[in-house]
Amino acid sequence: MHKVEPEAQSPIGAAPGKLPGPRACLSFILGACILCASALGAPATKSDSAPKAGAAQAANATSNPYVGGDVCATCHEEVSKKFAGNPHTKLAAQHGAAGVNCEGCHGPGGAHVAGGGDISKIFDPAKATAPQVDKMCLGCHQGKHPNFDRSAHGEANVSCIGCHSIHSSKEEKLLKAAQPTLCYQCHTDVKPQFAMPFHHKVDEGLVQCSDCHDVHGTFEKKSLKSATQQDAVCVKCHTETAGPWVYEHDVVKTEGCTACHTPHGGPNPRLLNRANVNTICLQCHSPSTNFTTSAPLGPAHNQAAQYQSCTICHASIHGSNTSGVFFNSTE
Amino acid sequence: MTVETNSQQRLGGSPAGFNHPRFSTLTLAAILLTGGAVAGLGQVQPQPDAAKPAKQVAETTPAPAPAQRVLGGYQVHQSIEVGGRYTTVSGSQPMWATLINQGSGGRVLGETLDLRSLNPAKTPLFDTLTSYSTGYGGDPLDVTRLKFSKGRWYDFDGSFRRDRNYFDYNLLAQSLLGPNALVAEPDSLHLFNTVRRNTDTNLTILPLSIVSFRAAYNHGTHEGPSYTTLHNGGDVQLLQWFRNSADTFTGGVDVKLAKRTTLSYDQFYVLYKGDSPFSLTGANYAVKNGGGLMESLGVDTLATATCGSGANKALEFVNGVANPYCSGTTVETQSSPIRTTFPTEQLRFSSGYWDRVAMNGRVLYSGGVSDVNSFNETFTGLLTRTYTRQEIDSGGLANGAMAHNKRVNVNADYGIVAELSKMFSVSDTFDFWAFRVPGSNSVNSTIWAGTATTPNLNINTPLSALPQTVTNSANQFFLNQKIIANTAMATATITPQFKLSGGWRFKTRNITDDGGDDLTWHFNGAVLGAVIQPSSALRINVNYDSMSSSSANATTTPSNTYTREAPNKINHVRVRATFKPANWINLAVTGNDYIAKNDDPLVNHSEHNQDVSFAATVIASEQLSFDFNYAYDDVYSRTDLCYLFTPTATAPLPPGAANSGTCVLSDSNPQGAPNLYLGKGLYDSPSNFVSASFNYAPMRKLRINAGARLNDVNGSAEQLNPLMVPGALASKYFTPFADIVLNIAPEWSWHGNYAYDGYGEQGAMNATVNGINIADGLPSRNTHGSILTLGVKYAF
Repeated sequence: MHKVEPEAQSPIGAAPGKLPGPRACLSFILGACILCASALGAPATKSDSAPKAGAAQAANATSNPYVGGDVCATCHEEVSKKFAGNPHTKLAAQHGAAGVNCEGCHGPGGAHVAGGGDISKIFDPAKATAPQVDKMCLGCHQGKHPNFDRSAHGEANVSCIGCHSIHSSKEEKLLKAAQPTLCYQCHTDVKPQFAMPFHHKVDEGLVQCSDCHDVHGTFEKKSLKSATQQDAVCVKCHTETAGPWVYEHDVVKTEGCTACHTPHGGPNPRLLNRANVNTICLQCHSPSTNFTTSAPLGPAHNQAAQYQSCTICHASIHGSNTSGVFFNSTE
Repeated sequence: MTVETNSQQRLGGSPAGFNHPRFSTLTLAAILLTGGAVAGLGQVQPQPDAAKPAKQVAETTPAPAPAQRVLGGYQVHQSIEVGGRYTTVSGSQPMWATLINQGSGGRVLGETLDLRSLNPAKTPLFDTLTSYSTGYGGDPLDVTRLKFSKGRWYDFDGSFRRDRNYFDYNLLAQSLLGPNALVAEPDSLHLFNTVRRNTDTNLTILPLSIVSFRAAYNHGTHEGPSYTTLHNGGDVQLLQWFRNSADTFTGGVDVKLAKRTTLSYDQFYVLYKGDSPFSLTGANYAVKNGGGLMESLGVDTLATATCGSGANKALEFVNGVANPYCSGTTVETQSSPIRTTFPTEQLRFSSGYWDRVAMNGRVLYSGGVSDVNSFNETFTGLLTRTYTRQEIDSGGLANGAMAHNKRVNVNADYGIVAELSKMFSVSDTFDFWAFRVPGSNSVNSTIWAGTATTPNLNINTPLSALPQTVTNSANQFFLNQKIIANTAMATATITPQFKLSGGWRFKTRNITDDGGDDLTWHFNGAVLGAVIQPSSALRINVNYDSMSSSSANATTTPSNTYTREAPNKINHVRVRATFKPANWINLAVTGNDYIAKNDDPLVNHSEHNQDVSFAATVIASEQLSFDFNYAYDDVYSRTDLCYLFTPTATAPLPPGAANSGTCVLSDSNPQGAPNLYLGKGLYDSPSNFVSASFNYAPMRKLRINAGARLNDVNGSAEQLNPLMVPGALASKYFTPFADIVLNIAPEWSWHGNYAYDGYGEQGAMNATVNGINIADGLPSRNTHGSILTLGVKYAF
């Protein structure tokens, strides 16, 4: 293939039948070049060799290893057309260029073109290792997802393209499929929990996995988010349980909501860990001085009598400003 | 005489869409059947994974699609789907409303809007705008999402979600009924008919610039009536009207200091308003000798209590008329407005400046304050225990406030990953978290009460005949916790196909409180992982975590935990495998085994959560695909616990109860030891889940999606009271469905969906004790129903 200077035409951003302006094209190319240089140009290990090898070979083949997105489109027309609506095109505005073109992710295409489409001369994320793919994406998105390398997904080699499809996604954030279908593909143990009689309405579309979990990782366990004041993320919706209270139910603050609730779904009402409310309470509040733990002990209510549930009386169980035994009224 | 209450009617609202006239629904359905439009589904049932078909079919005549429209410089795609649902329900209406809550009526089933600029230079406001909505018109939940952006200038995304939270599962907070029951209460005493609304907006200005700005606003409300209960002056049911809201304002700035290095500052402000007053649900009983009506729930299964003395001594109720010498309530109201603010500051940084090193960290401070202003609580009735006829409480702090609390929270976190060589990398994560929650209240109480010698004191005794006293009660409490944790990991990529990681997690935790506790524990645990990826088609992940806690000072708890039920040893193994042998098939298998225990011999707590699950998606062709899931899950726990139990004819001792010396009463509980029993607190919930569905598109104009889902829980638990039954712990939930989309024309399609929901309990519906079926007021919770949805979609 012939050497191609930065293009005056670009397929990206153009609607069928319409040509983009020259400003868009130039910014497209220049922005991509600058992005590539900053994200990929630093010295790297051999594991990051694919783009570098491509660059080195391209440099040998031609003085400009980059050929421009328009050249890519001559063979990959379908992919280029679909890229018009891709949020990556937004980077065009950064330098007046036309966005992140093909070479922004796949590396310089000169050698690939010179080799007649030699796929070994271009970075193919589908054939690269997960760390290679992550490194490429995080070259731009590091600031947004700084915990990814240490996250469960990052350590498990679930690369960015494990969930995102840069070329052919119809979902938000370029996901391969919408939540929770996407998550269920691997987390097969979670899907039945949301099918339980009592569950957060994830399958119904009201709540998403990403409402509680940041899949790219957080400093919390299980990639959970937190409320603003660093209470459990649950209080973002269940605000009336957050407090702070005069009389704290300590376990809520120290052990968390999951001490009593199972957040995905289960057979127990109010997503409790047990069907019998009393046995949840008696696990800690057994009226025996022999039992080890700090106070409080429980009073000896006759379980044979009228009250099925401790929370009939102790209704303000998440905390109270009026009652040290969590009654609804002042004592 | 007693009056059965209808909780649904008393709370005023019906479950969503429940009571629409059948005639109008049928009419709408008839109109829809004669029309035609393009319809999508997407909202009710999950769709199969979008994998490639087995055969790469050359692109044939594409499915009908609307013509391209250009308006104002934008390429416009819109669609709207209108229709209705026709619902038939059999069995328990409260359970249908609790679990599904779908009624009949017209709906706006869906709406989408997509605008894309043809020339961003000529469209100054935005380049792209997308939105979609679903559920409006009567569904129990509505969702709207909106996104628009303008190149390098800004990004905006927002959502609005509404959910009707109707809950009437009559086994929760259900006072037990027996032959001596006074009031039949078929519904849950803690019934909810509330609505949650959540609005979320996020704006990023100059997202690509060196300096970018963020603004966000979240508004969440929880409103509506609910029932709650109070043990004071008898047992009364209260109507509590939830009116809680939280507004979260966020402002942030991100500065790209250098290559892949960003410094961010976030300022949050949360304002919470809690206005959920309560009052009596309504008087139920006449009081003997006049005096108005008295409210009492009257669920004493041992209704042999008598009140009064001499000639006035009688049972609590005689022929439905309340004994005025017994405890009772005629007025119970509380107004306790809460105002809470959480101003929070956060400084973050992340850097990948050096190719082989990535680090990030944050420091956060939050100083929240919560006040209860203008507090008022009024009780009128009779408390025989304290001879009280009326008590009015108000705030004793400045300006009539009743409580003043704080939450002060500090976080500092740091993480780093360093690539030492091609094969070897290390990482470390340090976390510091400390909070303290001090609180104080002051309550002024004005009390009208007699004494033990007050003659003839009863609920009709005029207040003027009793002395009035004013007291003040002031309290201060606090709870503090500090956690310092560090996780160090090393990862060896032995080959591109095989990676091992291992590390150590250490945590120290300190809790102090107003009770004089100063407790510290150390936690240590191993973290191991392996990734086996022999090809791009197969990945196997194996992870193992462990944790063990130990005391760190002399005053810690012997069980090495803060609470009895918290484990002091944890082992957790997870194995996940995904296999994609070809483009047309996806397989996934998961094994998850969580085992934990508290090995204190006086606690004997053990628990496990074990899961084996499998999923397969097969795309046989462009026209046909299948989806199958199976999971077995077992949740189990047991803990030694003590409880008091006085057996009766209708309440015999629970099976396995042991009169054990382990259970020793405290000085504050002087009941006789023979009535104290040791239980095992057993809970076991094994469940099977199966789902299968297929997608079939025999022609470009027709698509069929059908399947079914079954969740079978066969659990059991130690029921301390024999009148309790397993309920949903032993139940089956079966939901088959079928969906048809017929494309009539490029812009029109017709959509029909049928969904069946069947819930049935496998265990006892009502208790049978000594051959007596305790069925009063506890109707069957089984329910099943069908939802037929017909829609017409117009895409333009």
